[in-house]
Amino acid sequence: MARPAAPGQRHENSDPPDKHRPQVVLGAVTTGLLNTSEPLPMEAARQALALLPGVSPDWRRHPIEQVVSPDLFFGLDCKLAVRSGAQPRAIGTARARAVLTAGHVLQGSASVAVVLDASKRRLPWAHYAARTGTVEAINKADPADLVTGFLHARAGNTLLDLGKTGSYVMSLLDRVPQVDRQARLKTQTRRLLWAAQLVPGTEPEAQVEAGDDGVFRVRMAIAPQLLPTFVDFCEVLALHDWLLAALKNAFDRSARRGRRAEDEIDPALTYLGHIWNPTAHLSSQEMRSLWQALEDEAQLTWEWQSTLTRVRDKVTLLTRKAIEETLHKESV
Amino acid sequence: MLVFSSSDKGGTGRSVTSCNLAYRLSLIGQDVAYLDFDFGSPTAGAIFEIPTLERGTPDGGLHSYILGKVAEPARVDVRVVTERTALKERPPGSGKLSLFPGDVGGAEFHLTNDHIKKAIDLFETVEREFDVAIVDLSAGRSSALDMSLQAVSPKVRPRKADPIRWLLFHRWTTQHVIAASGLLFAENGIVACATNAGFDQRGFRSMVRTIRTAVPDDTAFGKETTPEQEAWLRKSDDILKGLAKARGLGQDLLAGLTPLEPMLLWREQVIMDVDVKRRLAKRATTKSFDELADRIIHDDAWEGF
Amino acid sequence: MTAVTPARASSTPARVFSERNQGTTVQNLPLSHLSIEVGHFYMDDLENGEEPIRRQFERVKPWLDAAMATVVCGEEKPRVSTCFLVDDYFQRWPDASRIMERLLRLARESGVEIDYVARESSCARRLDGFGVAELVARRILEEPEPEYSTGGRPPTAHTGWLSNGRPPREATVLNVMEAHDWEAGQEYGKRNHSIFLDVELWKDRAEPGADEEEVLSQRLYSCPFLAAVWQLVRLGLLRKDGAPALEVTDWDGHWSDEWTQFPDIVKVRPQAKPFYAYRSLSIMPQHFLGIEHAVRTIIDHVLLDQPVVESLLLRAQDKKIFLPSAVADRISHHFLEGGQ
Repeated sequence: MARPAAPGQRHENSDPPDKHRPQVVLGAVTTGLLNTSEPLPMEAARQALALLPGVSPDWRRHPIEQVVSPDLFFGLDCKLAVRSGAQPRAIGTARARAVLTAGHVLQGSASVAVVLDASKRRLPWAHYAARTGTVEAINKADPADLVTGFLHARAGNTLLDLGKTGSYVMSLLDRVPQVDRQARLKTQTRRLLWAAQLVPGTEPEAQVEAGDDGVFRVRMAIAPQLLPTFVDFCEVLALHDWLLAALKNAFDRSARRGRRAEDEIDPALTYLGHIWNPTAHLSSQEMRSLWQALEDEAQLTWEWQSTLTRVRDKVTLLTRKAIEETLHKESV
Repeated sequence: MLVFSSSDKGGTGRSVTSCNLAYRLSLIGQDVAYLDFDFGSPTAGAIFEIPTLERGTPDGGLHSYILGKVAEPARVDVRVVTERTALKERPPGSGKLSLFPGDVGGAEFHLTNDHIKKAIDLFETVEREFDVAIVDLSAGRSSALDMSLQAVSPKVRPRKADPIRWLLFHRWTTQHVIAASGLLFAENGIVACATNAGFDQRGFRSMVRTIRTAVPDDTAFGKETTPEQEAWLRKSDDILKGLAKARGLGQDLLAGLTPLEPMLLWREQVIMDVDVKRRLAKRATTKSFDELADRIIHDDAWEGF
Repeated sequence: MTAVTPARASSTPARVFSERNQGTTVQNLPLSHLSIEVGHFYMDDLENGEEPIRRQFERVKPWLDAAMATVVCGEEKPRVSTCFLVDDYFQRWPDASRIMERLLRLARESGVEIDYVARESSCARRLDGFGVAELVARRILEEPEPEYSTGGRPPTAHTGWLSNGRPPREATVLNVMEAHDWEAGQEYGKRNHSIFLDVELWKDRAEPGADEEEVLSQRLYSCPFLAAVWQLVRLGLLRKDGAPALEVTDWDGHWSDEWTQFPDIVKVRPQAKPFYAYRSLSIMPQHFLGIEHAVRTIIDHVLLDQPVVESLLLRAQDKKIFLPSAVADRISHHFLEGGQ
């Protein structure tokens, strides 16, 4: 006789019981230029980001080409930073993916959901392997404290460090055959840290802070079902923060001693000039509103436009100068 | 561009000259990274006067990175973390100056292919951001030296990649000239090692230049130099030149020389223009660093001299 | 610092445009409730006369019947399929057709109906050349070292071994003059005491420095590794582009003499219930216990594709069938007593 359920087992609902529901999600987005001389065409990008056999990356063409790798997982057993009290020990896996925008801007995006006070000791690994992208903390901690701790902790040998996980995922793209390892623009990799407190039914509320270390930090209280769109938001913010920094860096370098300005400006305009479009991939209304609110105060788009104008003005002036010089030579 | 700094003996002024070179390169508009590969005793933090990095970093420096213990090495913006006020300034038109420190308590290691892969990745990453990366190797033969040669060999480096410069520092004395020549040309020397790594010998030798450090001039005897002292100095210098030439370290291989700088005898540090202005350092010292910096970034100068 | 609370849009306009091309869509497979593996032989067992084969099937039979009665099937009628894995990877005897016909006959005569026959070689590489084992190999995650796995350390390169902890080692010797000390191995997920296990996953036989393709083509997978692949295939968890990594082919009525010509999985009985199942049971001789312990260790360290895992959980939930979240908990064994 077959039985409806195994003895002593209850039916599992889709929602885990309260005790195993994550209260905090922590993440980091690392952004840099893919190490290629030219942007990767869509087909090559999809091959390059197939980081696992048997699954293909997600992709879209409009309005900006974007390819998203399958999730990769990384084992964790470390401390979580807190402002006060003992640091909880967390065990499980981090989730990370690579995102390639416009065939050229590469991001390593890593995150982990934190279940607090889940157990008293490290459990057999099968338990954690079945809960990918989640860590379970052995001790109690205040979720708000964890958020602050993660965003502001100094790196240490035993503290969670998702930024490096993102860097590692990016480095996987250095070795694929589609990448020629001859980037034509000097750029610096940048980092954004984010932390979300999951509060069912809450209205999203966010704080964005630009640190003097060049790191953007985003903290948010959010309903669990909006989390994926919030991760998108953070990736979009990280992408545009990087674009702005890269363009400014190129402009700065163009004014250096003994350097041809066009050597810096040309690749920057060619490869970065067209990518700015923050709301392009923000699918949820909440996140679009959030971006709008951020724009009202931080005015990133204005800053981009004015920087771009400066760069283009410089090109115009250089061109005029070159023409005048030619005419002058001819007239002599 | 990758610039490797090597020397046979300690105390040649390799690190302090390399740090000064990095600083000068940044002043002439280059974005510069300084990679402290002196794993046994990282000193760049002290030279740049960064209190937290005097003996390397405790949080995942280059040694940890090469050993695969961190996915990304620690780095600092020298101008942000230095204690020296004058060094904090970034004059207009100048470039970035970043230090990738070694680890506190780093040590020699047994070289494997994984380490070489890490070094390749590291150099590529740094070159994507910076115009010049100076790699300061510990004195003598070391795993770091072997690893560096293998990581930049034509077998693994894209053909169109930026040029490589290999600097050999030595003091201007008989013993140092002999030792430096040995390090370069002996059976297990740098050239042999490079050939082994896949360079063709001539190609590699065209990348190598020497820097003679702490070279005394006729002021070395003090204000009251006797004609006898002058004559002796000139004669000794000629003998050394002859020796250097005979040992393959002649004028054709010379990138430059740095004068004996009393300031550096007391303290290894960055010599700034204000030090010259305050008449603490010799103008000849900063001038020699500037000339070196200029030569390093100009291919034609490199090929020509 | 910028603090923002987005004004909730008064009405969210319906979206006109959407585009997200999923690289992979997970197929919904037909599923049995239980897949039962009815015995296992090494290739040379299959050549050593009929009696040992018959005897094993006869001993399988009562447990097979018992297993039928334990099926967890929610509100559905129980669906059970049986399968048999031919060990053709490490040893390959000729006259495959004769072996197959005899095997199926002896099973039938013992009252054990075999629905599906699969080949162990396919668990390494499919008939079409696709590397199935690589799907598992690339999803293996080493268990993180306690306290120091911060996400900042790059994963170690796979050496072909996997353990559930830290191996025994020489303790740090502070003084070279002191005798060397020994530190016991440790199972990371231990409860009081450790059972440290180190499993060989494969042997690489390519020359050092060979390219990846060459390395993979020369790689010899271990028996537990292929058995882990086999379990994951049966549970419908191993996919290529959303489809099962090993697919079922109907039997065309005759067996080829060459093992290499066999389809990956052959459906022997047309009326058989689906091959893939929510859970699996393997009935096999006692001496496979060690291998199956290794199999469990491997499976515990395979991080499967989330959409696949979720699609199965949703299906089960929909049909009110309890499905454990840990994959290894969906697998059970019955070991036939030894000494026979």
